[in-house]
Amino acid sequence: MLGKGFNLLRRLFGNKLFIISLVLVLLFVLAAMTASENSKLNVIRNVISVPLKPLQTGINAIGGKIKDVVNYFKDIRTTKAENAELKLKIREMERELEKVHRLEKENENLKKLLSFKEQYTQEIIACNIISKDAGNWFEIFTIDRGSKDGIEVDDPVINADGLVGRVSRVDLLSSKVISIIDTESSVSARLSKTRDLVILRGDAQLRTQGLCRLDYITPDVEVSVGDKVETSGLNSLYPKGIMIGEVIQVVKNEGQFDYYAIVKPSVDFRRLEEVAVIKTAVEGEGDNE
Amino acid sequence: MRRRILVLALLVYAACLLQSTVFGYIEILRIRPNLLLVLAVTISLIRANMEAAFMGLVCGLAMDTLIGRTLGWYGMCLFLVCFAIGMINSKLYKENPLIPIFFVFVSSLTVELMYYFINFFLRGYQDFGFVLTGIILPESLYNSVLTLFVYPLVLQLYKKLDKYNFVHTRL
Repeated sequence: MLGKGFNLLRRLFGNKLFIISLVLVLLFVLAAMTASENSKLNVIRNVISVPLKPLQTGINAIGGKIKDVVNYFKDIRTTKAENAELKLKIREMERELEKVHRLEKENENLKKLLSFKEQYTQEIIACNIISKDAGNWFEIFTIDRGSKDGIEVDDPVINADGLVGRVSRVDLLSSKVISIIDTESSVSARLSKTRDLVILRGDAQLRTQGLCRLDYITPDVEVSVGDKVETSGLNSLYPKGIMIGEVIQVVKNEGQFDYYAIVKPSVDFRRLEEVAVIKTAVEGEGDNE
Repeated sequence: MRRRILVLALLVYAACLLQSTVFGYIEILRIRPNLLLVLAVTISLIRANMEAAFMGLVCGLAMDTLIGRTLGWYGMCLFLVCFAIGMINSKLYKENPLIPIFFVFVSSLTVELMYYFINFFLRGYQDFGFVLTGIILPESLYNSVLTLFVYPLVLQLYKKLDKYNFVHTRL
C-alpha cells in the first residue's frame, strides 16, 4: 500500500505538467497572502533584503561621494552669488525669528491658560534612502531602518520640504516607502487658502514627471494655479498641516461635472536622499504602558 | 551540486544588488533595465526546461521582493516564460548573437505586459497607450542592449560550473 502510494507520488513528480501547476497554485496562494501589507508572510522578504542592506548602504555611500566630487566643481562657480543672497536672507530671517520667539512665549502662556493638551506625541526617526524603485512600475523606495528600529506599516514619511509618503512594508533592517506620486497612493488633502477638502492621487503618466493630481474637485470648490495644498489630518494616517505642494495647472473638461488639477509636490522626488519617519502615539496610550 | 546552488544564489544576489543600486545611476528617461529578467531569460536559453523554469521563478521572486509589493507575480510570469524558452531552446542556433537579444526583447514584452495586466487589473487599463510606449517598449529595448553584456558572462559561468559537475550546457 505504502509502496503504491510512493510510486504514485514519484510518477506525479516526474510529470512536468503536474509540477508546473503545483508551482502556479503555490504562487497564487503566496500572492494572495502577501497582498496585505501587514501580512505575517512578509517575513520571507528578509531572505533577500537583510543580506542586501549593508551592501546597498555601502554602494549608496560611494555613489554619494562621487556625486559630491562632481558637484564640488560645479558649486564653486555659483557659490559667490549664492553667498551674498543668503546673507541677506539670514538678516531677514533673524528679524522674523525674534518675532516667532515672542509669539511662541505668548502661545505657551495662552495654552497654559486653556489647559490645552497636545493630542499626539511625535518621535522622528531619520533615515537614508538606500535604493529607489527597482522596477519601472511604482514609486516605492527603500530606507535603511526597519522593524528593528521600531518602524511600522503606515507610518508617515516626510522630509524638510513636505510630505513624502508612507511606509508600506517593513523588513528587519529596511523598509519600503510608497511615495505620494505612486498610482496606488491617495491622500486626504486641504487647500491652504480656502480650506476646502480634496483628494490627492498619483497618476500613471504624471508620476514620471514627479507630479500628482487632485481628483474629483466639485464645481463649488475653487482651485487656482499657485494654491498651496497640505494634509488635512482627516484620515488618521498623516498628521494635519504637512505641506504637500502647489497647484500648477487646473484642467476642466467640457461636459464633465467635476474637474481635476495637477499638483507639483514640494518634495523633489528625483533628488530625494534623506527622509524622516514620524512615529505618532496618542498620549493617553503612551502613559499606560 | 551544493557548490552549484551556492554560485547561482550568489549570482542572483549580485543581480539584485546591481538592480537596486547601480542601475539607478544608468536610468535613461527614468527607465531602468530589468537585470533579473535578462538573467532569467539568458539562463533559460542555455539550460533544460525545468531548471530554466526554476531559475526564472527565483529571479522573479527576487524582483518581487525588490519592488516591495505582492510577492509572486513576477515569479509567475518569469516561471512560465522561462519554461517555454527552455522547451524550444535545443532547436535554436545559438552562435547567432541576435538570438538571445531577440528572445530577451520578446520575453520582456511578454512579462511586462502580463505584469501590467495582473497588477493594474482594478484600474481599468486607462493609460495603456502610455504604458506601452512609455514604459514597456523602452524597457524591452534597454533589456536587449543589456543582453549583449549579460549573455556572454552567463555562458562563461555555466561552462565553468559544468567543468566541475559533468553536466553539459546545451551549446
